[in-house]
Amino acid sequence: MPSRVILLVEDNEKDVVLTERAFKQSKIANELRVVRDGAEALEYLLGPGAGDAAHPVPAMVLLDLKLPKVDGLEVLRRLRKDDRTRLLPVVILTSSNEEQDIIGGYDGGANSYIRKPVDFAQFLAAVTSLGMYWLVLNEPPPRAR
Amino acid sequence: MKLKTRFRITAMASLGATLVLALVLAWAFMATRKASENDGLAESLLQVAFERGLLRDEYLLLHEPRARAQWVAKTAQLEALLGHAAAEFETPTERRVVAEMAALLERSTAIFEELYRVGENARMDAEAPGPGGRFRERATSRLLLISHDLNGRARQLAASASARFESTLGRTAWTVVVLLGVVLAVSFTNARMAASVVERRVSLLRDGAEQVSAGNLDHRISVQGDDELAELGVAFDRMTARLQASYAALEVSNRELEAFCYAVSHDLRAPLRSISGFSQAVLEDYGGTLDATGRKYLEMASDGAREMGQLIDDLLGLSRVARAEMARLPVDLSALARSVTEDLRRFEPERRVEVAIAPDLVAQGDQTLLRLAVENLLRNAWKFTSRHATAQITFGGAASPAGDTFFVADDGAGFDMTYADKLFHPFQRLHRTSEFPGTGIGLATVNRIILRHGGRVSARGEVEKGATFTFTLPRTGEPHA
Repeated sequence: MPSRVILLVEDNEKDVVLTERAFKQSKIANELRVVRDGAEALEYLLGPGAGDAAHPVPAMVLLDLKLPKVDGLEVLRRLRKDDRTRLLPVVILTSSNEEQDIIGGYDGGANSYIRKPVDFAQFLAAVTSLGMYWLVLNEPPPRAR
Repeated sequence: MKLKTRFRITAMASLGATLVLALVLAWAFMATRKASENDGLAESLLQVAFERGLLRDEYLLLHEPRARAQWVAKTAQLEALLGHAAAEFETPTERRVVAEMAALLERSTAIFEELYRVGENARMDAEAPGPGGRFRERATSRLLLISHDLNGRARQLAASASARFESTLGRTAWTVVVLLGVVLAVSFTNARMAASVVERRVSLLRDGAEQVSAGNLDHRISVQGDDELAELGVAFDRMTARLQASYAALEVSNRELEAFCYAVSHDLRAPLRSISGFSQAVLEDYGGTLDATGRKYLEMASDGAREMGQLIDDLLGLSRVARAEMARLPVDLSALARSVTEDLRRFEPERRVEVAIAPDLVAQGDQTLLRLAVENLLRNAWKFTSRHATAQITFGGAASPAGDTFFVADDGAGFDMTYADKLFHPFQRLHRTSEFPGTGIGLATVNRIILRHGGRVSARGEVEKGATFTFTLPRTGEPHA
């Protein structure tokens, strides 16, 4: 059985490349699916094709906050309102450490909030821990299996 | 009604009353003088009439020509006085009395002259009484009656003049009293009304000022009226409206600043992550094809990105200090300092630093911000003593009525006082990063925090002898934005 996908919601091309590289280096085998804005993320997770072969339900969502079209907090809010994604693990992965964003993230029902470090070595360490925790250690909720 | 008008009315009323009073007093003076003169005239009439009577009696008894001559003179005097009185006395009764007196005088003079003539003739005839004697008796008794009448009239005149004098005095007194009463009433009413208007307006203004200074910029006094204080109220409302507009503009610019900070925090870090990440990627994947210098350059690019990331974080921290909501409560700075010192010792247990913290130093302020300030100062002291084998750090304070003064002193690297004014500006450093690491934001943060509390920070130092940072915190007072 192939390992489940991880959905990365990120508009910055360079950050996508760096995240992919970090996943590869940290030996996380899960496939990384990338969507470029909030609307695409909602389309993937809640759209007509959600859950089919082309849009498998991800093991977790890595969600940036500042996104084109629909911002990250709004994406989170809509995911939590829908029964299919209510319990889906969502990790906010963003540059901001503004209090209002952190509070907004947890208020919206994020499972975790991680600030992307500038230094790639630290970023790699963060991604490795993230994968280890959410994909290996953490027991996901039954509905998200 | 304008206050100016009210005050003018009071002034005019007083001035008018004074004028009228002066006129009344002048008139009263004239009237009483006239009355007094008439009174005197009546007394004179009485006196002269009485003296004339004495002379008449003297002549009738002794028949001396001197007495008659004097009587003639007195009669002339009395006539003159009566002529005078006819001009002076003005009431019809008095005029009638004067006229009667003149008539009586004329008759008495005629009878006396008759008696004189008869008496002279009798003396020439050397023949006494007889029918001439009877005539004399009758004439004499008539004369006495007329004299009596004359005296009576004179007394009547005197009494009338006296009465007029008294009534004039009384009327004057009453006029003065009534006039003073009217002026007093007008002034009092005016002053009462002005005072009540002033009180009402001033209390509205005071309440308004209190409301506005308490932060209620929506408050308006909305006075009704056309006096000067109502105008002041309108000006006050205009001022508050301006203040509100400025405040709204300030809030907008604050929001813009926050948006800017957010953008800085989010957008500036992403390219830095790319620089760091891709430098690292080149090093890892293509490091073998680069020489040592090439690899060093890539590492330096990566380091530069990390440093800039730290600078951005520090800058955001400073802006957060400036924007943070502030509470004002008693804060135990001694406890704060002890807690910070424990942290420092835990991370560098090998350091031999003696830290003396004065007990019970309490300040009024925001717990979080003051902790940040004290922490920055103690960390600085800890850092700048790190090149000495042993070190001494002191945290102390002193209270004064104006406010409390606190200081953090160390015996570390110190600084050259020439550059003291640079210390509190962001990113200004007096030491090389290789000597003492840091971005130069710590003291700028302390400065911002203390300024927001309405206090001041100052520094004294000497190279290799140490530095002392002093800050004051007012007991009460408005926090500064």
